[in-house]
Amino acid sequence: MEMAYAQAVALKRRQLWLGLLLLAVLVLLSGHVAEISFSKLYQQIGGFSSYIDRIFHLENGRPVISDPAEWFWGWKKWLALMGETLLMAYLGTLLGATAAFVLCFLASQNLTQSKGVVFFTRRLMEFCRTVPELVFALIFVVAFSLGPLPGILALAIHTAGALCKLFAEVVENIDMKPVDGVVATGGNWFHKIRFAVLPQVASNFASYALLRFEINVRGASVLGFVGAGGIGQTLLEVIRKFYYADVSALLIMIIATVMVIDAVTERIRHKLIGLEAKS
Amino acid sequence: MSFHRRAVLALAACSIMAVSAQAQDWKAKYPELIFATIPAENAAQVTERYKDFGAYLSKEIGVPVKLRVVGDYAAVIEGQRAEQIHIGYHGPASYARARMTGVKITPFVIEVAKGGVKGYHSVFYVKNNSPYKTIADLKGKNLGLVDPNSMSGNNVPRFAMNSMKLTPEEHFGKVVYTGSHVNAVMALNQGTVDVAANWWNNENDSELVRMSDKGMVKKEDFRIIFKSEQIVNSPVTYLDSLPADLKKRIEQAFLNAHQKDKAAFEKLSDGKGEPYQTVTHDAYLPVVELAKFVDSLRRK
Repeated sequence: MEMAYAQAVALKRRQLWLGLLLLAVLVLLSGHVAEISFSKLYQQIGGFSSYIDRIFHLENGRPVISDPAEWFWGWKKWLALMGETLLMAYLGTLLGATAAFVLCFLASQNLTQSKGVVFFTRRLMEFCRTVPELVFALIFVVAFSLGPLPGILALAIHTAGALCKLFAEVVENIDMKPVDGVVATGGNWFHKIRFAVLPQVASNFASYALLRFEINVRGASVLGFVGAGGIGQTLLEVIRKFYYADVSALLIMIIATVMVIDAVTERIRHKLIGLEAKS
Repeated sequence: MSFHRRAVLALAACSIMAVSAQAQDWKAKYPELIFATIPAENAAQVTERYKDFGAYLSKEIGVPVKLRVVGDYAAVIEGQRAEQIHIGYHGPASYARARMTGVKITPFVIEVAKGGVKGYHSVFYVKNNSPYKTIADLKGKNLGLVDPNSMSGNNVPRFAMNSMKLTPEEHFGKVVYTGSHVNAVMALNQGTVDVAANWWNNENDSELVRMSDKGMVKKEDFRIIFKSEQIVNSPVTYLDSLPADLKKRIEQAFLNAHQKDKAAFEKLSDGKGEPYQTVTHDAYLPVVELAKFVDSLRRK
């Protein structure tokens, strides 16, 4: 008996080691194909830290904190662009979350009878999620011309895809008893959703949507690269033109904005959870 | 043979070997050279244009010369700063930017256009069927630039508009960097922008003509509404840290390219260019001044 157990353990262990060995070989092989050279990384690591060093020094060679007024010389202009980016992220998240909310029930296997509908909705959402936002933005720039609109639509589509998946998974996790209860009292599909499903999922939906907003602020910054408006194009320009101090100033502005949003959404989410617990 | 003669012969043999060994010393340190160019066109087009020339350079210089296609003009600058790119083909403004930020490179040859002209122009294109005649007409419309480090595609346009007392971000509706000269023309063609900046040598030699020859657009669809003063042509640069005889070989390879591999050389300019000529940093001092001036415009 003990022998059999020991053999089973030994077999599992052998399989694990074999698997790890195979993984290591594949990693090395792909590194070779991708021309990754650890010796080069080691030699050139100084370049990476020297870039960090450069972006924290002003043009006159002094460190940036020695003259904050000079470091953030364009703060008014940049704050306005940051505001545009935030609005883009907000609208994109709102539109995407609404679309995801409407579609998620069609992608949940416990609420939708037709397997075909579930399949089709899921594939559609995968498409929306997998195509990079940048690609959508580029296509929309051609269709809708430059400005925030292409960025908002690109964010909305990607958000719809990402949130729909999360929302559908939350819906599939609910307790079906309230749903049965509503059906037993003669409620239709809409009543089912409104009275049985929504109270169970609302707080999770809100939590994911707020997280998505924070992610979209970063996404909106990047979309500025393709002319979608906001802080992105300025960031691109200062990086490419080696206005080093501006790079650190803009990055700090973006990071600070995301931190503030994180704190604010955290409070909103706690309030929503708090309300949920009370009711 | 007497002992004396054998000794002399042996010494002669040793010294020949020593000289040839020294001359090939740099081959050990530089088993391959990386050649990068600013992406004035798009990746596939750049590869197509330069790959035969890369093969020619490998043969002439004696070590493999690899062509690296980079994403934007700044990447060539950073690549040379990190000494990962040995030979870099820059536009005048990206070369000036590299020197201004302390990259240790030196230009050794300059491009020459038909007629021995060592300069080109920045132009603004609009669609032929559009009503715009001057830049003033384009108030509130969209401008397509190329790359922040492009001479004809950003720096000269901004300098010229400053002379006209215009600020691009205020005069135009939207100002966008399209990424390459090809992208700027495509954006204009699609209507994403109403005016695009580009480089222009003469009627028969410009990015628009190159694209038209490839069938991407029709050059009759476009019209020039502004042409700048002549700009000094683009340099090819190498790292200061390369050994002297390697530098000599690279220089000779470029200067002789039109004779030793005519086909590869002609491919670089669609047959419209003349042989490379030597150049020094002095030719680019005005460009450095212009770049500094355009930097200062930002703060206004």
